[in-house]
Amino acid sequence: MLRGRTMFALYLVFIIAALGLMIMAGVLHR
Amino acid sequence: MKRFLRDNGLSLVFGVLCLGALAGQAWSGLAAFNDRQLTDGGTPISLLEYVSSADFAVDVAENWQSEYLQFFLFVMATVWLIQRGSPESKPPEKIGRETDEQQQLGTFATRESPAWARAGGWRTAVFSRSLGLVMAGIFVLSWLAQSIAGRAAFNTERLIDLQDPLSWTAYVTSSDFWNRSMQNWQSEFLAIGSMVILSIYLRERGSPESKPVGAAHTVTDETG
Repeated sequence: MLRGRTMFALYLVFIIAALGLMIMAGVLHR
Repeated sequence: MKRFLRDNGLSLVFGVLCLGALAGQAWSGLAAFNDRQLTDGGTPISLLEYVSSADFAVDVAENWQSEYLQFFLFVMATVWLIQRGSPESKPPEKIGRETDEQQQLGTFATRESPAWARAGGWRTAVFSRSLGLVMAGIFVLSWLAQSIAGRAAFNTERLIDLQDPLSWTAYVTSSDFWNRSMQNWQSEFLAIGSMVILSIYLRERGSPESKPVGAAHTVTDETG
């Protein structure tokens, strides 16, 4: 159960972090 | 450890494939970007500069938004629409949100039911829609990322051509933004439609995305 949650959390963290970086790349683009 | 790998094979393999393809996209995208830089009389950039650029971000985001839109629409549409004979569809008598008994809610909840399914009230209402909400949320965020990064990348091109930069509102109504969106959407919608319709008459032995090989073409909502 807990092990399934590891992958669940990994996916969500990766998706949110990547989306944050993509938005930052657009905002900070010189 | 071995058990963890077996129990999470699907998410691990697709996660690794995603990272590998992303690395391939970064590498080949950098080569293409630097080719253009040289023909435009610019200077080549490093891999780190490229993966933190708006050009790379918009290419990633436009594909992400379409995938999450696809799965969000598929999750929502299959509540209300059916396809007779498809393992991706439920049978006609189950159209809609279904009863509390079918959904193991209220008095039909079991001791193993998730806490928010047993809680009732707003918690159960939110949890009952959480998959669609999260998929829709990621879609909106990716589409927003596409519009912000796309505008930045598009404006760089315009400056090279000595044209005025576009505001965000002008960019989200521009042909560049909608062309990038639609060319991804059309393929996602075709893929979903194909999966739904091809799985009526075709089989993949052992796949839960297929009906059992010997199942009748008319049988709906069976996996094997």
